[in-house]
Amino acid sequence: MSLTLTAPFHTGGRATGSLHFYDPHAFQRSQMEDKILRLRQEILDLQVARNALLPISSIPNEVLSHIFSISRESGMKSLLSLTWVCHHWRTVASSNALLWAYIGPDNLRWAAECLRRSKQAALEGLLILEHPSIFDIGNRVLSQMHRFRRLEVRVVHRWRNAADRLGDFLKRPAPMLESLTLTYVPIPDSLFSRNSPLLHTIVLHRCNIPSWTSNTLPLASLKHLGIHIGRIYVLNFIQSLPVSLPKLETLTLHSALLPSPAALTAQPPVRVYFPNLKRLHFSSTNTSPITEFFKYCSVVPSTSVCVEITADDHQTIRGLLQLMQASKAFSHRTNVSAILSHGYDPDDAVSIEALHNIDDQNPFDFEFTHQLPWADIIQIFTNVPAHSLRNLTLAAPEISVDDWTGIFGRFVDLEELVLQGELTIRTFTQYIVISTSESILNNGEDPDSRGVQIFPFPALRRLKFRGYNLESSVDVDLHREFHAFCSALEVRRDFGMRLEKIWVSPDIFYLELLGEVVDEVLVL
Amino acid sequence: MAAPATQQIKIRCNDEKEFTVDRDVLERSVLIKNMLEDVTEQQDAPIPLPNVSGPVMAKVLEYCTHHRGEPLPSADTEQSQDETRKRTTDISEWDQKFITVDQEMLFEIILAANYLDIKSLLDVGCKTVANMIKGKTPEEIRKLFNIVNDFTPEEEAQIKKENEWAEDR
Repeated sequence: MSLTLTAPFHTGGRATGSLHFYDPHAFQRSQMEDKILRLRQEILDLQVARNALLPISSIPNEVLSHIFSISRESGMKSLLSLTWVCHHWRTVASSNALLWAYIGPDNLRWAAECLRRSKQAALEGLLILEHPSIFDIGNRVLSQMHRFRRLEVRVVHRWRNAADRLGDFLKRPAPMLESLTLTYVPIPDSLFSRNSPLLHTIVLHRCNIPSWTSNTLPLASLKHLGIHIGRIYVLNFIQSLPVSLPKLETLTLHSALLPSPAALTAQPPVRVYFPNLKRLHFSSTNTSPITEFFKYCSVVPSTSVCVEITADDHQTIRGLLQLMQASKAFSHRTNVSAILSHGYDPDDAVSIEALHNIDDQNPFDFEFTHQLPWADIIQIFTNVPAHSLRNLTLAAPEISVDDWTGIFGRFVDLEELVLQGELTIRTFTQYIVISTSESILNNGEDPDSRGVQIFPFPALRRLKFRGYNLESSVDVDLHREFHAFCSALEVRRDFGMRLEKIWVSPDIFYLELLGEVVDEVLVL
Repeated sequence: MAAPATQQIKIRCNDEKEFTVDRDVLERSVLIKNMLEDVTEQQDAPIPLPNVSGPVMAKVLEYCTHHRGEPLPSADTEQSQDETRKRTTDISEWDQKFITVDQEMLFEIILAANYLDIKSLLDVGCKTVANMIKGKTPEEIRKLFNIVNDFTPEEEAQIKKENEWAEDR
């Protein structure tokens, strides 16, 4: 190797003295490097061309994109993996903005990237804000309120007081929003600055609504509203609805209302009419707000009304009766379902007698989860009109044959029977009649799916054993699952049940199977 | 007026293979259904299907015969079906058996379903491919479909970054 001292090209008369090694192969090497690059590119081109000739590459881009959207359901990582397979897949996945338009718990930390890749596509989002560190990301996502089509924001209970840090996203226009679900998020007045023309569904869970006025949800397009846990006065609420939500079709109120204070009811208000309401669903532990709602509202006859009372106070039956009286004036399609865990006062004879007044046209569900003395059960149920009882849950001591048929045999419309607690069906099983009826065959497709009918309840469709001593409940759809029915009987026997007799119609195919779980099978 | 369900229709594939099939079976294909509706007079000439080969058409017809009589997805239900489709990769037992074919045939069926516009069959095909991919690394997916890594060095660098970024989270 030779060492040469080269003069600077232009040093302005001053030598800099830089040293360069003479490299005789530099040119050759540079040529080789160029060739390597060229060959590399050629190899890449060949690889791309080769991949294009594979059977999988015959799938059109839009179909491949659809496959990716199915894979996206397995999580964000699955989608990212697909973009790392080959150039073509990466291009297809990147060019489909919709693939990146969902922001959920599995990609919240990649939200910025998803917002970028989703371009201008309408967004869907589920933001579960379970830690303060996520609130900043949440804010960034919610700043795109104008792009959301569906959004659920869930602040966890622990950080509910920090929900204000989400800023004023509910005041920004949401021109594409169709559905919104919020948990522990305070609701401002003039939601979305009155710019959410497509919004048809809102569900609010434990959202703070200081006072309900016609400005609270001024949404002319809204069709479905659900409020779960709230403190809204009945009259404030119903009087605002015709103005703020004129198109409302479905209203679900779960422990959302409070009885109006005396000041509001001092002057009896005019009944509020809801011409568009199709379905109204209440569930509550208190009957009085619902009774008040019925008193001051009216709906069209076709509106379906469902009331579920889960009560543990001793005024339940009385409250329930008042509610049902009010519901008669309100709608004849009211289904009332009451779970009375401790809600029966044996001395409340007036209330029990008043059960006579229950309208046969209004079906009625009763659930006694608290075990009552048998004498009390007789007293209650002899007063209930025969056609009004549809679903019955009963926790009671063992039932005698006479009581069973005498009291419950009247309820021919009973659709669901739940036997619970220490109640045994020793004698009950003596009255099971199994038959295969054309009307309850499962299209004849599955020979194991013969239906079961239980005497004396021709309408009974579901039978449930919900014993305290069972590991899990056993639910049987009598019209579909013969085997499940038999195994339910078997489960009961494992826990000391005596299944003495069962009557079956002669065409039943399962005598052998029944013989395994019942002591005596009698053919009708 | 709709033709009787027993009417027989002839089709000809790109390999000249011909099939004579009940009209209601063929009408699982929106493409053929529209063609038949456009033709007012009964024609004896077979309908040419230049994008489908005989063996693939035989498979497609097996599917259509099994599902004959089932309601076709209407425009109204399409959106909700899209959502359901996205949410589940479940395939019924019969469909699963039907689609257990080699990769080449699977892709041919997907192509045919796409061309003939048989949404439910396309769906079965797409779900099958999605299930094949599910839970696999990019390298495993490449191996499965015989794909070679053809990323440029720049793309490789970007992917490496994304990978680190994904592992971080």
